[in-house]
Amino acid sequence: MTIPHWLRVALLLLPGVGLIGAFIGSVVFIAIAQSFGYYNLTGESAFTLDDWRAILDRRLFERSVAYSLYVGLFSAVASVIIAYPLALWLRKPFPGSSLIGAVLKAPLLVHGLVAAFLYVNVIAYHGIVNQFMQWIGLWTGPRVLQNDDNAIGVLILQTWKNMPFALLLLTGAVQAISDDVLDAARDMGSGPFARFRKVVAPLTVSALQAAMVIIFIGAVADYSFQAIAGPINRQSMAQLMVFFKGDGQWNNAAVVGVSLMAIALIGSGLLALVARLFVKGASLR
Amino acid sequence: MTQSVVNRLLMAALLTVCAVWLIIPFGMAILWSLVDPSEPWTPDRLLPPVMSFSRWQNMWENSSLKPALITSYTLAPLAALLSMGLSMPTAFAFGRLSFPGKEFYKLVALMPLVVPSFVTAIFFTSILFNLGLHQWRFGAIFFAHAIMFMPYGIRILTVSFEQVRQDHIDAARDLGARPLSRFVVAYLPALKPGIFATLLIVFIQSIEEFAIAYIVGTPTLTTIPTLLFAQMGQDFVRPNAAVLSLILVVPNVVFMLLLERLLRSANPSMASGKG
Amino acid sequence: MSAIEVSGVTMRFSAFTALNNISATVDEGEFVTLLGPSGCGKTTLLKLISGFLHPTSGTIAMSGKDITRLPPEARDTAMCFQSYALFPHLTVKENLRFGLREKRVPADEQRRRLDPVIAQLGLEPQLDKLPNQLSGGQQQRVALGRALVMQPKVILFDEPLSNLDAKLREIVRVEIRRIQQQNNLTAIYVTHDQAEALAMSDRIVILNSGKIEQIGTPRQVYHEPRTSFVADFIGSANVMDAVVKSGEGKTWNVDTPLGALELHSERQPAGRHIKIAWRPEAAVLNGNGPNRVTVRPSHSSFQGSYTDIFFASNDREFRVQLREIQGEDLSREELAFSIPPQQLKLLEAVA
Repeated sequence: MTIPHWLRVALLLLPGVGLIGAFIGSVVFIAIAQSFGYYNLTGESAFTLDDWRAILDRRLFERSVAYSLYVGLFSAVASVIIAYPLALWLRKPFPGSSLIGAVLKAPLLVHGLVAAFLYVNVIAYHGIVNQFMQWIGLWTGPRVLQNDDNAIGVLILQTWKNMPFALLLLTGAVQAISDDVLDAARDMGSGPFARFRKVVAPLTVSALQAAMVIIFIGAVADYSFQAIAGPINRQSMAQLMVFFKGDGQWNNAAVVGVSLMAIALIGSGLLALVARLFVKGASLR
Repeated sequence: MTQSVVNRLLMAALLTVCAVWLIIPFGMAILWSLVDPSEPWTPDRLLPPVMSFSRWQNMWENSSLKPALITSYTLAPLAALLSMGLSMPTAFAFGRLSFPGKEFYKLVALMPLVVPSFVTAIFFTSILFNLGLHQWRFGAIFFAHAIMFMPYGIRILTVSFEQVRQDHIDAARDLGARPLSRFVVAYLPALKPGIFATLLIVFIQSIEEFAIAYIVGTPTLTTIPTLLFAQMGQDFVRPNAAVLSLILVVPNVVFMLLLERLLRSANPSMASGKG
Repeated sequence: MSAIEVSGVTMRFSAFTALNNISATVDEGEFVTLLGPSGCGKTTLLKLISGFLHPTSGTIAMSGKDITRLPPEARDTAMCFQSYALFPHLTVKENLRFGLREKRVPADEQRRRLDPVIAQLGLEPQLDKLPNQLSGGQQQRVALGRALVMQPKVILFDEPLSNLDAKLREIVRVEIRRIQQQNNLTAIYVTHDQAEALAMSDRIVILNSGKIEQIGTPRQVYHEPRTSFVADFIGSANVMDAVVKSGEGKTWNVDTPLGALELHSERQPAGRHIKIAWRPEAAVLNGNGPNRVTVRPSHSSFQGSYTDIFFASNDREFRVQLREIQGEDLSREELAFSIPPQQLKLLEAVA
């Protein structure tokens, strides 16, 4: 039985790519549609821009967007800034380097919620950090460290979780740089920072971009870290979206959801672009 | 200072930091899980006064732990099998056939990783409501998990299919093999590590998945992550949360190390990593 | 009825023509080699015969039956792959049995076919090993055995010796020929190594850029090359332009860069301006005859069993190959030799 090539390919792609496209496609479609007033589960379904206008007006939404961007950007940048020197340090094997590498990558094995619990546990009112600070005399009494207003907890958690991933990507990229290239740079008078700027960064820029994009998208859309360890008076966009849904305000939830997707996409695109420009600029100086 | 001295200093510093970073948090979690309900662990004591496994027993017998375990560990293997089955034909096409638009389709296959999981969760629920299927929670989560994790299966199996040697297929045909025998003798040996890796990765991702399980499953269906999340909300009983964390982490570490081993044998240049 | 008949076969891959109107036959029990440089189309032709490719035009028949569109699993051919293609997870014994099990040959018949092949190839001690535990030569033999137990009408070889070292190659090629002759198999063998082709074949098909240059026995293609390509590809040759001045019957007078020469041939020259060739070893040192040449050698290469002496004439470099006996030294200022008239070979016309 010979069927035409295109048909064969189509049938093979259907259960995989086809289903993915249908599933994600319909999710995105419904989100967009609901944001414009369709598929209204609690009232009339009609095209309307009202929900958009209303949401964009609300301070709650603005603050949520700003907050999510703050978390996303910080996590991406911090993870990468910490990971780069570590990746360079671990570039050539030395006694113990594989142990260090494994220890550094251990957070990849820990579920996010567990990490949140461990963190919350450690900084608890009577937890070990408080006890330690009192023991060495820096503090006179226990302090409330959880759910701080600057979201330090969320940022620490995001970095703890994501830095190993950036390390993974950057280690691979950095190890692909041949020794000869770095030696040549040294031979021509480049010190360590100059070597990084002019050789290492440009050659590893796509791993850098990939790491930042993936970490940014994850952090900007975070729900669980925020819910457990985040500030009480701020909401991440995902949190806001879940809140609206729980309240039955599907259209509002859709507006937030679509905005979140847009911000994730556009933000990560911009981030990748900025990263590349920055590396390029630094290398030319 | 020589490079090796610097290395050793850095290493010592780093190991200390990591001890603080890993050993202390986990140590605290383990200790908390062992606190016996008869005597609470007050801040003035370095270790819990009475340690026992009673919390563990209690959780096992009285809480939603059992149903959550059953749900999680039933959902995961089923999702893994379905995901792998759905990925195979596409991976075959990507790995061994050429056709226009291949790069585009490969990007489409990555879509589930780009859309934030909570957005997917919420609007998948919306679809379910619109279709009137919102009662079918287990099925919905099962189906969603299988699709959401297909990018991993497709990527791994595509590499496996690419590694099937054409001359083995030709030799099998030349010796008269029917299509099924050809598959078994020429394809399967190269696919085996990829198949196991896919099953394992989807299994792990499914066990850990939170967004969809939370949005679609609550309140009737619990998985271990949603149970843990609930425990950290209103009624925060620290020892119970500690028990749950350990139940979530320990098998996960074991599975992930297994996966690393498998992936390395399937494709030495590929590294595992969850983002 | 010939075992394999290829008629007017052309193979095109979009803009590239791999084979251009090829016709050839292989008789039963014959060992035919497809010989040529890389890209000449010999592997393509083998794939067409084995069924992994279908020709753009033309037909292929086996014992009179048209098999042009038949898939490989339905043809009565068996192939020995260049990479051996042994199934890595099956033992030697299971590899050998694979085709028989596919054809559902009953167990006792399987034994009857396997035992003599195992004995012939000396595979008894390897039966339970996996392919990666075998040496290159042993893997080669398993690949051969796997094809032999199928008792195919035609057994096909795709450069089977190219992954073996030189010593092993010589040993194994004798074995392959011996087994082919003992079992009276029809064999089609692809190689780019002319030494293999000359040593093993009943006939050689020489291919160049998708066309057949010449078909003949090893001695025929060596001693009676038809084109300058064949003359140059098999062994070494001095190829030069010639202008036919006069002659008739079997004797011709030609003008060459070496001067006027006399040529004896069974064939007729293809035109007035042609190419002719003579082999370096055809030169007779200090010989007397119509084609006596005296030259000043430019350099020489001592090769042990012979010495190559190079000289130039009219902007062309020529090579003479002479046997050197110990004690003699053939390097000299002036070299005189003659070429026997029948050792000058007529080749194609010059456009």
